[in-house]
Amino acid sequence: MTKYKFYHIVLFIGILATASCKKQLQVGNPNSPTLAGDVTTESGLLSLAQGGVYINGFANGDGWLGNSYFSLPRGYMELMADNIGADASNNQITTVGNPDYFIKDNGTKVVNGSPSVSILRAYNVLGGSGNNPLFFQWQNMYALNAACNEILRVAPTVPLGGDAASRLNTIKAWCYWWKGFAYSQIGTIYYSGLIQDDPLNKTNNHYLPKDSILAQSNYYLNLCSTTLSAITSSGDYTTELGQLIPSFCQVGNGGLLTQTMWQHNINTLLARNILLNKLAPFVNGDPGATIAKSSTGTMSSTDWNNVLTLATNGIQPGDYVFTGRSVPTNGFFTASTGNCAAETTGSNISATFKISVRYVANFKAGDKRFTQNFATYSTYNNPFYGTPYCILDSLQQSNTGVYVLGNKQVGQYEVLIAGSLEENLLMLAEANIRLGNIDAGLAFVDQERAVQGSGVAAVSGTGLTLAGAMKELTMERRAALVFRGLAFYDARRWGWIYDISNGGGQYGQMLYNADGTWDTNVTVSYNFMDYWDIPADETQLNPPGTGSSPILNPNY
Amino acid sequence: MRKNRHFLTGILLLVTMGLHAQLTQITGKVTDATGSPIPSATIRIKSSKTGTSADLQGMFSLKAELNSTLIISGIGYETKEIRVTSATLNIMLNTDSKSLSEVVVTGVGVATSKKKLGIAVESVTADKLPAAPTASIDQALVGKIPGAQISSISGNPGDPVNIMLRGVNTLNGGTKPLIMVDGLQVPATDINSLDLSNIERVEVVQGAASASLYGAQGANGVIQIFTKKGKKGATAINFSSSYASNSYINAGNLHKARLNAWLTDASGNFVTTSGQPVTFDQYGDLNGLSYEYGGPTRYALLNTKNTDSHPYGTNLKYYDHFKQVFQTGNTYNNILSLSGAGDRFDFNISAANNHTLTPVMQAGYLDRSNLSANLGVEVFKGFKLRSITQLIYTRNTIVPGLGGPGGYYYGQGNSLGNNGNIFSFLNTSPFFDLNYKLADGTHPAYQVASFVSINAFNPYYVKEYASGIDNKIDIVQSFDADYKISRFFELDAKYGLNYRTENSRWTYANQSANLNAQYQYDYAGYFAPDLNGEIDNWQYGTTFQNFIGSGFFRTDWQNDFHSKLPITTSTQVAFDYRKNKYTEYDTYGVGIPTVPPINISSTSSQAVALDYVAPFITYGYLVNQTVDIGNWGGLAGGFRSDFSSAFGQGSKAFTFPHINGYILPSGFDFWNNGKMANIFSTFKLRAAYGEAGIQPGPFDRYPTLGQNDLGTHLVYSLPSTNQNPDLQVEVSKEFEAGTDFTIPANKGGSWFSVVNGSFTYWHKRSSNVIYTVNQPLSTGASGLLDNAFDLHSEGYQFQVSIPIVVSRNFSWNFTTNWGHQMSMIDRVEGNQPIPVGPVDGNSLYIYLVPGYRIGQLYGYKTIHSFDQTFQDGKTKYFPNGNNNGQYTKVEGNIVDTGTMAIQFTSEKYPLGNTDPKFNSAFINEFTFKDFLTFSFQFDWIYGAHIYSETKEWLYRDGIDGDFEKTVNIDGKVGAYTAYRASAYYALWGSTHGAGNEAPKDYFLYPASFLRLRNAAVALDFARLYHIKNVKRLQLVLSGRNLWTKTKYPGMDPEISSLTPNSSYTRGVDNSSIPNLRSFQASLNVGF
Repeated sequence: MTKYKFYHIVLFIGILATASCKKQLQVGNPNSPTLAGDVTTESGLLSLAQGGVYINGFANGDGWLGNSYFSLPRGYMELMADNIGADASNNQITTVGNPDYFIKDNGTKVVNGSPSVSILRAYNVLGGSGNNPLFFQWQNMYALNAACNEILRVAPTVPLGGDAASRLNTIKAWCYWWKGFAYSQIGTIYYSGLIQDDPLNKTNNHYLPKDSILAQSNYYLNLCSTTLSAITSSGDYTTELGQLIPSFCQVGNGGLLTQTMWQHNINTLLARNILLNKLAPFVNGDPGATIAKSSTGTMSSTDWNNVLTLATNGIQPGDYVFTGRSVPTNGFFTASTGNCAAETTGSNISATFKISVRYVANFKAGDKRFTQNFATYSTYNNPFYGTPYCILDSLQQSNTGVYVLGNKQVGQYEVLIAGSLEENLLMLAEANIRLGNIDAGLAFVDQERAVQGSGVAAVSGTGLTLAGAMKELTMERRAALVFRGLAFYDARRWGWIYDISNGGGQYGQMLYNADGTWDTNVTVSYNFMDYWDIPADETQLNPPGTGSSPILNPNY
Repeated sequence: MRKNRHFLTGILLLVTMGLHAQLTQITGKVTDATGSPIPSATIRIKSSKTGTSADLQGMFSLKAELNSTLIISGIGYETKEIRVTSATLNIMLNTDSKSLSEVVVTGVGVATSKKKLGIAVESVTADKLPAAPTASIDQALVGKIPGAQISSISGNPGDPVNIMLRGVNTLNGGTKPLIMVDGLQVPATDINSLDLSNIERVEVVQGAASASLYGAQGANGVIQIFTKKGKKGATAINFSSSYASNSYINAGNLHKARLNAWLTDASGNFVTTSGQPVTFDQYGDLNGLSYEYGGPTRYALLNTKNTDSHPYGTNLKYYDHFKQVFQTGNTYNNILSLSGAGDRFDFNISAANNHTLTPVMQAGYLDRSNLSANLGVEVFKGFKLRSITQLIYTRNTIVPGLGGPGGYYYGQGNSLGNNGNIFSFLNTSPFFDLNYKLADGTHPAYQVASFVSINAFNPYYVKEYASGIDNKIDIVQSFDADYKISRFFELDAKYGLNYRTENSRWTYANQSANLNAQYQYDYAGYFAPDLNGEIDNWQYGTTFQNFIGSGFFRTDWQNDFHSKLPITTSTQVAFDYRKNKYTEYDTYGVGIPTVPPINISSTSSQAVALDYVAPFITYGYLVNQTVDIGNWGGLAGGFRSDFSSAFGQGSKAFTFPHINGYILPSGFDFWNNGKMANIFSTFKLRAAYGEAGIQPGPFDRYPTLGQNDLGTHLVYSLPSTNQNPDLQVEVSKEFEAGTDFTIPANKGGSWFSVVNGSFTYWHKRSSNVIYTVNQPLSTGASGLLDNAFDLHSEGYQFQVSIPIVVSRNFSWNFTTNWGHQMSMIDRVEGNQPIPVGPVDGNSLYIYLVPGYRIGQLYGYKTIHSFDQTFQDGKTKYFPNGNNNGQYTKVEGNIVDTGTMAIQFTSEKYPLGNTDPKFNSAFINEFTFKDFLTFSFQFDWIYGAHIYSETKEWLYRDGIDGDFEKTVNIDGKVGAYTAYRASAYYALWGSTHGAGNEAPKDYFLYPASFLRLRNAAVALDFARLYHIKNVKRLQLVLSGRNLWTKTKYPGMDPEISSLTPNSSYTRGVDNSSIPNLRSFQASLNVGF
């Protein structure tokens, strides 16, 4: 009897407990939003559309050195352009930018025991991300691309206010732009890539040559353009865009682009896709130099004309562009280490990156950008990257009108994410020069120098030859566009990063020795990989299908 | 009502019978097997409250009736029942084969004699736990549990120990076992916060076979702590006070090179390349330093002409930074307890305080106060209530960066204190004085000498500008209602509440006035973007509730059913509900004014870093049936079904079955009457199979978006690791088999009278193990959480305990604990090796690869032979051998004579295992008379390896002590910096660059060690001088970690700087805080 009772009690408690407990088990994750629960309203969609770009694209996965796409991933581009050097062992920053050899004034040949190509390949292993320079841009740009795919998939399901069609098109244009940007970045650095436009982000293993990736970039940039043109309510456009670009980035050259300004930005990027991805060698002062072994072709006059046309309709003075800024809290990068400019600013002892003397050599005598930005209070000694220069911190352009190379103060430095007026002007300059309009081209150099407040005397109309004009152009492009992720591509297309035996190299370069003496006529053979291998974190997990373009650059 | 009448009648009858009984004066003597008296043996008449105890000669007398039964017991002896057959009795007690007579509850549901267990349960009583100066249980348990790897991985006050009871069951979940106090889980309170002096006993079940009753949380085993209850007799008052002096171990004499290769002039002054003496500037930095050869650059260290041959002492001095930072700390312990019991109630109330000053520059203290009350009452016959309360208040003022608590998720426990700045001095060149002061009396932040010391950061600067205050309150409360309805039925309900609230506040003062920080733009801080300081507020809370309702049904066939079969059974049915809620709210303000008030509202910008809540609910049903057949054997089996908010989509239960049994051949007559009894007086075989689980993370199965603020706008992002709605519980299926035995080695002798032993072999398979599987980056995510791994583990453990000498005045007990365990990866989803890392924050990776052992480190190998091939097995590194003398051998390494560089492979290999081949402990206890005891414990850990990132960093600037050592390179003898530094810089084909900081076996050292863990001598004056009314007046002098023998050249081979209780990352010394060596004096007073 008692036994019977006892089991009843237990059974009863059990049933009671189960019934009351089971519901409790769906605790969810109260800390985080969900796609199904939160991206159902316009503000939820805008939150994803902003975070998908700035967090997925430019912040996540970038905590290795600094904390954004603009610190380490862009830093590699500057290191391999000989704009900066580095001493620290972290992430191979001290090795990746070292040339294969250089020959000093006295004829001594200094050979690098760890050539850049072998470093890149040695560390291109699954999970080697920390030491794998090839990893980062692939990671960030495909994360950006995937976020845009997701936003594009969800956007039509979300009820939008105002002129819903215009608002939807604004969000679509936003995604197309960033997809175009992502493919542009991928196609410009990697030998092959993947076109991954699946709305559910199921990837494929059909690796395509870089030209196809660049074509997809152009496709999305053009789609962005037509989508922008289809927007009828500029009020709704502005409302949406104001919530897509973080308010703290809407200062300086950043702001709410009008549809026209955005079209200009598209054209600059389209021009860049052509210019950066073909050779226009200018080795040892020879504008007709050729490179024997390269992964890409040479600019044709059609290409130059296309660049000219696009850049003519590119970013105009007064146009807003896409920028990034730091904030004291709640930003997507920090002021002191979040971008490679900040990491190069300050004492050479504490700065991660040290400004290269060969970069500094691009400033002409009296250039205010040089006199105001540099100091020589702390020396960095290194066989190749030794430098007495460091970039002064805390300068403010607003005080002097002179371009500020680096500033670690919160909110001061403007990171240029995509195109800029200076880049566009210098594309106009180079296209004109290469098309034989030397003075017209140099006038754009002068215009660009004025934009940066250099105070350098005009060079147009001074009777420069093609080689002379190219020298002005290359010097100015290096000096002005530093820390914008362009310099490596410039060094590539001008032929400098190629091995001397293939017609590349840099001549007549500066070298700062540890004893304080200078070499002024150093020959450098960088021999860097022109288009990068695909990171193993992709290829090992997603091995190429038949008919894929090579995942390793076959020229190295 | 009718029942009550029967009851009263019964009592009346008993009383009447008692009155009419004929009492006889009985005298007797209690002795041990050697004939020595057993003083204080207790003699009790069965079924009565009458009893007495033996005097010092073992003599006793009492009145009892003939044919009544006496129960005679003595500590350390088996209890005996004898029938009174005459007025004088001589009683011999056998030495207790303790391991088998103890009663345990963990893993068995009902209190069971160890003799009748089919599983291995280890138990340690309070008297076997050393009074570690930290007064923490986890520290005290080190070496005490056979088979368990319990290692003290950090000497920072308040840091947890690593516990791995039996192999690896999970990768994400870590190795930490389930911690229970008095039958209820205690997940919120750190085990090291519990008061050691309040512990009665600790029981440990180590794997799924024995922890199956705990279902989805039992796979890592269970450590169950029982707190002290009041004992019958006069109220006891105990007071204890101790003082300990603590300093850090440096077993391998880690130090910075006392010689150097800097450029000097003829008088030994350190000079610039132009011959001027080097100078310190107004920022505290050194200018003008140069190597003797190769000039003032980092890579001149690799110039083969440089040797460490110059002493300091002229214009540059040598400072011993280890001494400057690692000073002597101390600990005070004070405990007061009051306990007693009557017929229907018992109580034990205690208060304890532990105050530890950190030896790291004495930068703060840890102060813990425990207030405990254990109250029991029998409300009416068979119905007992018990309330156990522990209130713990902990205050920690250790500076953040110097070991202070706080940081993201610190409140979840199991975290090391924030110690990031302690070892930044490793990068400081030895000619800098850490205690140097700038003109205004402040310390420099960054002591740099242009190309060396570039990663330096001054801990004295941190001590000056940073401060921390952490307040923590823990409540561990349990209620237990137990009702024995009849001899068949018992109902038990337990409710436990474990609450922890903790607030840690870090303040970094405004440093903008510090000349050095200003100049170098280097500062102390956590969130701050500049020198202007910050206040960080970390607020953690955990509320955990556990309800366990159990019903027991017991039978004894002989008594209950008049059966001839000596069968007893126990049926347990239980419902177990657990609910946890963790909250964290982290805020900070940056930009502190230089004038008061200094608070978050006076900062210039504020933000919420984290506002987080983690609810977790699980509940399950348990059915467990045991059947014991006489003294011969038994069988138990059952299952547990668990639901959880973390797996099975919140609606599917997972069931964990178990079965175990034992047979006691020594319980049979043939054994006892035969020769076997002379070999094994007790012999038991047991085997068990059980399954238990590990819960996934609370949110692993809920797909979400990331959330950030960008400026003032809330934004969402896609996660880089995707959660998985179909996640299952991780399951460990374990088989164990073992034996417990007693060998009467020298029956009746005082030496080696018996040998008690137990041995267990175990093997387990862990499946459904959750880990992030790599995803191709083009999907936008880099990983997916999945039940991706299968593992297996096996090991064995044994304990041998021998009363080496038992005589009248002297006894010597010896115990050894021994264990071996290993874990292996059997399967990885997609058959992909999964790289994890860098585990050390630098470049050291772990690879989770099928067929590989867990605990392995990977890296490049030093080449020792000209036959070394690449991993293809064919291509030789040295196709031409030593190539006409290009290479030579130095310290067994192949070295290029031209560059003096050690040759390393260019491919990575598994280098060696960080897990030991075995770990063991040897415990000796000596007792002289009843007033003097002496004990010591050696721990021997064999076959482990440790990767010294600490030394590798010291190699970077060539400042490790190894650089003083001379070598012979091709006939040239010197302390060549190029040779030594190549260990840091070189890799195959490259003297510098590729090899920088790359993981190499050069820095993987054997970490075997023999350590004198505890030694104590105790003298009880109360007994020595027979002081009246004082039960105890004991002086104890003890030491911990007094002596270490190891080949490890770092400070301490036991430490690890990685996540405590991590499943797969252990054995890396990357600026880890070594263990403390302590000397302690205690006074224990009892009334």
